[in-house]
Amino acid sequence: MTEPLLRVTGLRKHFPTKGGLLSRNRSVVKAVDGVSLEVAGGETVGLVGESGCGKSTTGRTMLRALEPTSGRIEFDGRDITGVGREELRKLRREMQMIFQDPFSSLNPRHTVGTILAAPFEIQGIKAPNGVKAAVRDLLSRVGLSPEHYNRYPHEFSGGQRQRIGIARALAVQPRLIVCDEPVSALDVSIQAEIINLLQDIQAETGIAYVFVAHDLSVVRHISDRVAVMYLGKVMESATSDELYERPLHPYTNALLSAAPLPDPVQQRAREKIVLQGDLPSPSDPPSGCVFRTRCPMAQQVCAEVTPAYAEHSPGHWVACHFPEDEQLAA
Amino acid sequence: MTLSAGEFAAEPVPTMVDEAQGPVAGRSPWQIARARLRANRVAMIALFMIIFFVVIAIAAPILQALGVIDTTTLHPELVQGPGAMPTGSFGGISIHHPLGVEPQTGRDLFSRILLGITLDTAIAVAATIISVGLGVVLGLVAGFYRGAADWSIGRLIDLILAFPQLLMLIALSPVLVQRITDTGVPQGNPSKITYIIAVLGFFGWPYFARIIRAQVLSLREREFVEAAEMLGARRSRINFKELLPNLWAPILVYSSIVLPTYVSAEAAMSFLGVGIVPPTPTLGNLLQDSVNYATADPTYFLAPGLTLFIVVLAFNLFGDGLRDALDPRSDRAGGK
Repeated sequence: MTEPLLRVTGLRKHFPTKGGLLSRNRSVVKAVDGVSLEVAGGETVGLVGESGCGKSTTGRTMLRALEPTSGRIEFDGRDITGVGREELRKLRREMQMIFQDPFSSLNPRHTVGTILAAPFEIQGIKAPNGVKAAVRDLLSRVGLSPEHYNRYPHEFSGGQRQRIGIARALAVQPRLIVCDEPVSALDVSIQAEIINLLQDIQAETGIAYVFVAHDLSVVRHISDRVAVMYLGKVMESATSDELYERPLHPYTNALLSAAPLPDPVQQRAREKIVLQGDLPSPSDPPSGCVFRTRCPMAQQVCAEVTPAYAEHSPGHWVACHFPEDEQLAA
Repeated sequence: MTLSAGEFAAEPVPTMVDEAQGPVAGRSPWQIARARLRANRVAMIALFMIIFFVVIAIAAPILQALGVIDTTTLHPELVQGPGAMPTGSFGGISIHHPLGVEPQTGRDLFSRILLGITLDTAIAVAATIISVGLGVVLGLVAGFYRGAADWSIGRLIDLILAFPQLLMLIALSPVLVQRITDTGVPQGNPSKITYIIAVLGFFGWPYFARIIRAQVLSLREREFVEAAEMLGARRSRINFKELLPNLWAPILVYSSIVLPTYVSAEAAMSFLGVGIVPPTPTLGNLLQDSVNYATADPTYFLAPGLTLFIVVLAFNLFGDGLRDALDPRSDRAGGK
């Protein structure tokens, strides 16, 4: 693998929480706390974790939709962490986003034609046969009828709206799209259509995806590599087969055991790991390993030393003092 | 772990396009609201009444100029007796004076009411434009930029709302009207009209700014705003092209609700003696004058009073209908 398309190093995004007018105690929510990630051109990296683990914030911050607190973002070998607003505007042609809620991601007062013409207007893209033709072309590419040009978002189903959102992201012909839980608001049958559409588009254009989701099976299906996040940190990352077949981190293991199996016999026979307790507050994360408060195999050292995020086997990174397979070997 | 990768192979999917619909013509949210409004009989009747009054408001000065109606000519021959009351029954109603004449002066009441409608609507429309305009701009700024802008606008609103409006209207009126005259506005009624419009507009915007601010606060968190930012849209584009189209509904509803309150506010101010003075007729100063003759000449009192009542009622009913049409989830539409 040569230079990755996107490389994120030590990314942090902290949100200050303001007290009232007179209160002084300000705390900081560490939504993203030191995430490092690489995305190669044309590949799909899945980002999974439970609600509130910072996966969406990571996706937004790596596109600089949110300003990172610290860390470094490189796109195509170029440091874009500090580029100004105008430069960022130009960069939007390279990197786009697909949103979670198809009911709020489209302006209800605009027709589909207006919504899809916006990228051309904003970015000043000249379409060879005119913007209208380009928009019709986009519509057919995402499986909608070009006839839908003059319709309003409310006349579409959730899946169709999500297709419009995808078409909008594709309009500028980006090289990277961050998909922020693009299917979690959709019916299961529709999810499959959208996932397939995203894969078809990738096969066609060689676009790279960062796929943020909490549904493990969806992520496995679409991703080449998967990173598991917990409380603003990446716990483990590997190719998806490796991660799902040989999870090293106890958290990954717990997540995987929570996902139901299609075979009821296996499902019943399987040992389930049920995590105890709640997700700790990201404004006051536990010392040492952030997962230790809920980890079934936490030891004294976990509270004292933050485990390094290290390459355990080639391409398989994990941040844990006691990766699973060593446990088994011992 | 046997999460099979085939789980997400889609089943045969029905075509996304509904072929049966033929040529696809989108129905915009506006068209839907219009259809809903058309189905509301009360609102439609109110709308026709509003149109009727607007036609009168536009026509009255023209008719006055053409000499069809006459608001100023004195008819001493039509009043008689110690109180100079109109001759004849019902305030001197005749073919030439369909609503009778004023006591004392004998001026034609019908003409005066028509022109009064013109002036009242003009003042109300101007004040509405000012207060809604200020409210939209300041509410948008406060909601979109938040932070210091929001704070300053919020405190300004608090200040204005804490101000004793009516007191200021009455107490400061001579001074401020003089100020307006000093800036070059003709003395007398033109200055007073400017003063009324300015006061109503200035005290009217805070409520609306709050409504718009709240709307913007919720709208700007919607993902379509983020999508526009993600495409590299500038702030002006987001404000005017993404947010503003979503604010037209509250703007229209609020305008239709404040407009009648301004009509009656003008009447109230004229009644309290800080408004426009005769011979220029307004519904307010007609009413104020008529109260003196309420028992002796009830027609003089009832004609402008009922006119004011109907104008305000028509606007209010239409405003309600408009709100139901534009925001069908509002409780009143659901709870009928």
